[in-house]
Amino acid sequence: MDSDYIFLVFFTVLSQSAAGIFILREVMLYSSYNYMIDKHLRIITLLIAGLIVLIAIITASFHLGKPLQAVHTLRNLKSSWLSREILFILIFSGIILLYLFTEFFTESSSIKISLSISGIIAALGLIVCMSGIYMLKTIPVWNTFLTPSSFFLTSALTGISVMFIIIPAGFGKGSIIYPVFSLLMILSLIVSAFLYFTGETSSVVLFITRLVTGLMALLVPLLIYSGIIPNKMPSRLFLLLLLLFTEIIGRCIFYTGFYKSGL
Amino acid sequence: MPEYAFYINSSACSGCKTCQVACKDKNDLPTGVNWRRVYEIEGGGWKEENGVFVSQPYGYFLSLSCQNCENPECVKACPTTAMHVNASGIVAVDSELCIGCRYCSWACPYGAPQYDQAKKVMTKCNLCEDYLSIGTKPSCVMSCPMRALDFGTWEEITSKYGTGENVFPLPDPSQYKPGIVIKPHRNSAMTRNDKAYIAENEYK
Ligand code: SF4
Ligand code: SF4
Repeated sequence: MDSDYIFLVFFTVLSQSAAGIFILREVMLYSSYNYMIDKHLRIITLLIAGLIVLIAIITASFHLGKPLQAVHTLRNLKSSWLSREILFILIFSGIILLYLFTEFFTESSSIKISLSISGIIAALGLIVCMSGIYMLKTIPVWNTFLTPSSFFLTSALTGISVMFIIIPAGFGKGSIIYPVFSLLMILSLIVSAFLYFTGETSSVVLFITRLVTGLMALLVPLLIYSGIIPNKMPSRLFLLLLLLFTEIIGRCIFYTGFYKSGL
Repeated sequence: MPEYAFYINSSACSGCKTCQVACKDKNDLPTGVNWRRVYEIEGGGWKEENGVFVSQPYGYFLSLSCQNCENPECVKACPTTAMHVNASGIVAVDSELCIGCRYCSWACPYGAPQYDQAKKVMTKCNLCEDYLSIGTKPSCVMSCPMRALDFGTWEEITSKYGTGENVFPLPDPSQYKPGIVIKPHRNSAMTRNDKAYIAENEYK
């Protein structure tokens, strides 16, 4: 893997995580789980999503030869997925910022609902545009449904585990979150295995690391669920760190598989 | 159809890389940036014929630069419009707009966009536009001692040489409509039944 791609690894994983946190927050707020998120947590979740997007944008700029010229990236919305991705990440960040203001200054539910819906659209649009960037005819291993699948799975898994950490009241024994998380984790491992075996150059060390840490990330919630390890902050934090590490290794496999058809 | 075309007689190319060096010299390209590249394609090996093992290796050369495609994927992919089709119909980079994201190089199937680490922008073959404006052919074409290269408008080249054939390792031309006409080396037919490879990739 080209060492420069490490910035893209972090950018994609972080921005997809922020999208996942935001979407999950909104789904919970407007579902029967809304009792879990009080005003304080509503602000915290937005702050976390906003901060992650900010770090993601800064990280991505290191990949550019001339980051100060980045303003030009919006000039080709007509045909460039990269332009569209930048547009969506800007809209998404703007919505998070606005939403944060409304949490402090207004209780108007119509404003909040419109921000919520537009934020979800921007977050989903961001992941779709990101997938479009990689689905190039010249790179067959990326030009499959595996690319959007892997991106959406990263969003869902990181979204769930961040929520799992910051909502102390929730996700006790019997919560649906555990089977959902396990199912998504299994899918994520399958997608990563496909990317490894169809990619031309991926390293076996990366794949084994992904497999082992992925299986651990699958096991930890099950152990918490069954009460073998306590449902306390250290075990939740461990799960989040493990998952982030797993996703980053998975994304390295994705970039290492880069092989152009043609020249 | 593309605006311009290069002609490559792969049968005549000896792989001397004079075209590559002439391009680097004319355009003052740094180490690692090669707007024209000569690829060595190899394949073959031992084959059994009537109980006897005979050696049948083969090789040929392909000298390639930007094909100034009719459907330039690089232009579609570029977020800043730095990669554009200029007034002369040439796919060119506006270095004032380029941010060095390198996305065009992922999208181009011919490895044409070349990143200049020092300038932090993408660069590529511009068909020696300055030479074309005074009626001279590109530097690579002029320098070839085997007269294996030619250049002109698509009409000129195809009326002189026909539309040529696609050879390994180039992608299906119907997708990108590249401005290139290739007279294949006789051995290039073997790549259809054989596992040919680009030598420099193999020995990296
Ligand atoms: S060969 Fe590559 S750089 Fe040249 S026009 Fe085609 S896609 Fe663009
Ligand atoms: S490197 Fe420059 S020319 Fe290539 S896609 Fe990025 S901005 Fe466009």
